[in-house]
Amino acid sequence: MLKSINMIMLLFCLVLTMSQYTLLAETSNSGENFIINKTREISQNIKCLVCQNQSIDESNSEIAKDLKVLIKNKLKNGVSDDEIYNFLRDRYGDSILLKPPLKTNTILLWFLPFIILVFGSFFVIRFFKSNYK
Amino acid sequence: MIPEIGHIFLIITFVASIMQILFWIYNINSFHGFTVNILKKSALINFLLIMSSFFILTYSFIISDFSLLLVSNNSHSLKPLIYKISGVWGNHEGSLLLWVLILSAFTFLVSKKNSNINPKLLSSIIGVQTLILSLFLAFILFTSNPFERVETLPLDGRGLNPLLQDPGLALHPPMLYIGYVGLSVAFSFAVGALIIGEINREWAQQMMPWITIAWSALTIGIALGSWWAYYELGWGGWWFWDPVENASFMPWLIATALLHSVRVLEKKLVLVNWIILLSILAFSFSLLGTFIVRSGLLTSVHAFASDPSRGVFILIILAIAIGGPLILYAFKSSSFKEQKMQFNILSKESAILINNLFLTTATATVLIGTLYPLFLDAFNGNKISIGPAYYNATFAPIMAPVVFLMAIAPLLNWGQHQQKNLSKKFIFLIITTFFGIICLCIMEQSSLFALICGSLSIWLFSGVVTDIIAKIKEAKIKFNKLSQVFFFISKINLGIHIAHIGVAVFLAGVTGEQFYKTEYNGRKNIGDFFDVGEKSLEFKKIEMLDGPNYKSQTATFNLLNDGKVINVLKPEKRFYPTEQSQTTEAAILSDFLGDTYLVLGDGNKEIGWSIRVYFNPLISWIWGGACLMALGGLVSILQNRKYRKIIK
Repeated sequence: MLKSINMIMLLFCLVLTMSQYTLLAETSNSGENFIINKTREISQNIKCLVCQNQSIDESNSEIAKDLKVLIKNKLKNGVSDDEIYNFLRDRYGDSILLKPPLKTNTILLWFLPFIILVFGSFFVIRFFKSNYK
Repeated sequence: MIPEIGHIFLIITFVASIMQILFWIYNINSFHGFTVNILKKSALINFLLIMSSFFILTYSFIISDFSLLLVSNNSHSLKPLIYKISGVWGNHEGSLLLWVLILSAFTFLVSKKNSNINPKLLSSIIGVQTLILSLFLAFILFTSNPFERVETLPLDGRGLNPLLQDPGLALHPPMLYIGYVGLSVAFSFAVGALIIGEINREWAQQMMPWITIAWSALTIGIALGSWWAYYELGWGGWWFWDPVENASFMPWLIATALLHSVRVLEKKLVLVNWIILLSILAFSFSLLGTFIVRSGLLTSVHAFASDPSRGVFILIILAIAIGGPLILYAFKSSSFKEQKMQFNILSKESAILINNLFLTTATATVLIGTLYPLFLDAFNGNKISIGPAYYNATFAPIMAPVVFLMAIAPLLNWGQHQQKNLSKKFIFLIITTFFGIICLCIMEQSSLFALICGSLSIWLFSGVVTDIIAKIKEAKIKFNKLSQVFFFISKINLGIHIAHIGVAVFLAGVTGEQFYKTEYNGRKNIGDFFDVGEKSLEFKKIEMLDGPNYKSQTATFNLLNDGKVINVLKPEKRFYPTEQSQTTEAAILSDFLGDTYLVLGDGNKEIGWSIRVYFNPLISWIWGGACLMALGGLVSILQNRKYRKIIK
């Protein structure tokens, strides 16, 4: 038993180092490609306000196109991700972000799943203890 | 005249169902078979009446009887026959009629197949089913009558939403509803057990095939919906975390948890209260799913024909169907006697418990993500949007341990018996996974999440292989005798293995689609050549063509590899004059390793057309995996003799 746990640990470390290596290789991309990828990444998190449940990345509507151009230009000028998100949020409100920001009114949204998980684990562990042979 | 007969059939069934319920409640404590026999006969009659009514509605659609409001609003004389038929459930009223048809069919089948169980339990099951039936019939008759007539006869119908005129979507609602309604059987079993205050292992065995059928149908239904969204909406994706998709996904998650925990109850009388609660919850989510689409509570691409005025009625039904049993549960659940569980930490029982913990938490997460914006808006008027990023951050990490455990759990034993070759199996599993991951790393450069997702798929696949090999070895069958090996494999619990392989295939598809997808956008004109990844496309021509009930703008592209034409792609934009709407038909070149997906956007000869090309590696594995899961469910029913007796 102990042997296999050691194996798992060893493997886990190996996988982790390997993945870090591949991650590093990816972030070294820069220039034109970097801007295109970054624009896509950001626009996937921006809701298309005239569509139903689509991000501007998926949408072909005019406003989505305009916003994508705007994001791209800002990235070219060296504006950071956070500044772009804040800019859009000030202009269109929180609902434009498909990933709701962590604020007082979204604390439950973000943490309730994990609180439920912790509570559930508590019950399961108690059940384990009372039924363990 | 004929539609009126359909209407009268529904009214008769409604009145009869109320009388049946009164009869059942009056005889609730009687033991003799007389009550059961009456209820069984009436289940058959209900089913026949509703089926006739459904056929009458279908007939009205087929002959395009536009004197019916529903037909004139949702059909058209020029529509192809298959869409005239699927138009029956392509709208609110008709889909509810389909719902009650399936419900009455299930009630009839349960009363026929499970006739050997405790008559008191059986009459309660039929009684609860009839109660649900009467609620839905009331909803149909009072708020959504499919047989309503028009005042002035229109020249032709208004047609069906073109997005819904599609073979995938013709089958999507019936499969989904078989799933939703199939869970009502588990619900009635649970409420029945609460009413008679008694439960045994046979209860679980009798319930199991119904849950499995419902689960398989739900899997297929969701997969069909996702497939439809992929090729019909032209967005290139397959799952959007749309509220309506979530509505069908939540019952699936709970049903998956139930499917696993009932297996524990089959072995030993433990977890009784939890399983009863899960059974009630699973159907509650089905009801929520049915109504989320219908009530206009949530806007979505799928939410056709929504009408807020029905909301109150819906709330009443939800309160009776969910609240009632939960109150009953609160009073009665402590009366069940449970055995002591007595299991090892490394046992199937504990793995299934953890599986249930994570699956229910995952369901809660989807529920929170779906309803939170509504509550926040109602509470203080703040509007937020929840997109895939939320679910990637919450749902994905909760589901990852489930998949991790899925590979291990089948290797463990039931109960408290220590495993003999467990560490050997684990080492085999770890080594095969390790080689798989190395292959993955060599083949493709990948990010951390891609690696986790891909590794989980390999891990699960290795787990199933390990399990099968170990079982063959334990049975002392030599691997060189292939016929013996195959015979042996056909006798083990093949259903579970097929379903788990299905999840591995699904995950491989998700990995490919999520992390290795490439996309090209641009505005191109006729005659243009352009490179997309390793291949290139040539824009040949664009032409106007006539379909049966639409006009199509069809573009032709040559897909070239090294200057040679390897395929022709024809994306379309269709215009439906009757419905005054447009659809995008993507050109999809699908093969085992991935799809080429080409969408034609707006444009004209002067400025060119906007073109989108996606390469979606392994995307068909997503639906292939779902089909394997459903197949696994069916195989497990057919294979298991205990269940076979019940089904036959």
